[in-house]
Amino acid sequence: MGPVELKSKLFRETPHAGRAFVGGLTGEARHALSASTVRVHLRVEAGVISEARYEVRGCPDLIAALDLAVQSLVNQSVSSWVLDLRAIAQAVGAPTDKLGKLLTIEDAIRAAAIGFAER
Amino acid sequence: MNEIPGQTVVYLDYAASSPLDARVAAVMAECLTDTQAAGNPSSTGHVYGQRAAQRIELARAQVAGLIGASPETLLFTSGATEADNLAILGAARGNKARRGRHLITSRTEHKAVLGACQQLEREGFRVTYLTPSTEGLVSADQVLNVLREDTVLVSLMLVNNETGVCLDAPAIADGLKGREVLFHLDAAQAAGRVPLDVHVLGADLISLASHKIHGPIGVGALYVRLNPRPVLLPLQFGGGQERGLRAGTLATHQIVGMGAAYDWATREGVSESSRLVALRERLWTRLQSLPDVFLNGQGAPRAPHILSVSFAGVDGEALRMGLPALAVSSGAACSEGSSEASYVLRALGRDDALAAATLRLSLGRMTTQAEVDFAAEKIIAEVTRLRHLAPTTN
Repeated sequence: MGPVELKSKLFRETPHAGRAFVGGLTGEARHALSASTVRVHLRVEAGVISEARYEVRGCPDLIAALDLAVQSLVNQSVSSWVLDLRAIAQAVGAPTDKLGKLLTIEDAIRAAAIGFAER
Repeated sequence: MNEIPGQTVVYLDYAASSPLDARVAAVMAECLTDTQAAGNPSSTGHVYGQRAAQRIELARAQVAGLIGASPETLLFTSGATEADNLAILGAARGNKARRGRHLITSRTEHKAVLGACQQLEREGFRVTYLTPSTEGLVSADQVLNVLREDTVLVSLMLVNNETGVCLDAPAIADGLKGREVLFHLDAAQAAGRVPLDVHVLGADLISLASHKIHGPIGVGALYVRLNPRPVLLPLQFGGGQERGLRAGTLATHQIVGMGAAYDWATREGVSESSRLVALRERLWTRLQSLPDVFLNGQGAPRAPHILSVSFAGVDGEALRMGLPALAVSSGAACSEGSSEASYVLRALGRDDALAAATLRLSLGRMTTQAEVDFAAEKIIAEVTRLRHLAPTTN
């Protein structure tokens, strides 16, 4: 599946969209210029992200990239997670001028993960 | 509805361009294949040119008929953009010595008008850009309040291409009476949609399009009042066609097509307008089942074929991508390449996010009730999906 088809599929199906987990972690970030908002929900078991969901208001590139991003978090340590945003942007064919907006994904995950450290 | 492989697509972008009417296409095809009318319409020394010229004069009379004008007031152009440019640049340059270098227009004009005004600013003219009311209206008082001794031209659109809001042109023309200020109307969206009578409108110059009312793309016209006849300077030079104001061989088949489109619009007149109003209201009634939807131009008189609706709480780009079954516009089609929110909607006070989350749904002769219902169902479903996806308020 090419980037255009993948973006379209994730935008339409949003398989990992969902509300907060009971007892889970939540982080939010906004992109002021576009009024986009990303909220990431994590379920963490023994320090490992076992499930991830999101809520989002934003463009199709942001939605598709966010869906891929939360998928990539599963089975990662909540205190040392890694996100290859550039590869994700490439996978969904997001134009380079959207990279600033896509950074809200990383900010939202970080905000959620900080919640684990503070517990 | 149109079948694109694997998918039905409903066309609701008639304000951008309306499909060529089959009856118009038939007249154009006949013209293109009529070898007896294959001459240059300026070559009236032989029968081939004479027949082409006759066809053009018939078309001129047909276009004039829709606006209550005499045929000799019309000159053909390549479209409404050229007509706007000729009217604004031609009138301003042609009357600066007599009147001065000040123009009045509004912030919600088509880019053909704004671009021409910006060019005049580069040439030393001053332009006052009026801000319409939140309903999208420019009043006669607003215009008269900014008139100056050196005002040469007032240029406004009769029907706004994004909101469909109609200008009270007769009131403005009344206010300008006796002041020697030229009045130009961009009627690209108005012809065939709202009643047009040059004697009622009172404008000196009126731009007309062909492809907005099921005629061919690539042809338009400029009405130039006969008495008193405004001074216009041409923008291009050559063979002196169209009374020296628009040089270039006339495109007979295009002009014949425009004539046929205007003729059909004249014949169908009020009945088609009433049908479009009913469809537009049906669509708006259905969309109001969603919370937080806003009609742009609410409270103002609006043309029958345009419905501009803003949807709070959704991203504009996501909304458009989520509606592949609808051919609609998010604003002016000419701005479609830009992701910037519509300057027209921002001028009406919509914030950037709401302006971006706006759909312009425009109807035409081929629009059916089934299509309107289909569109409403798709929009409601997609707005609901996107809002459900959005973060809930804590």
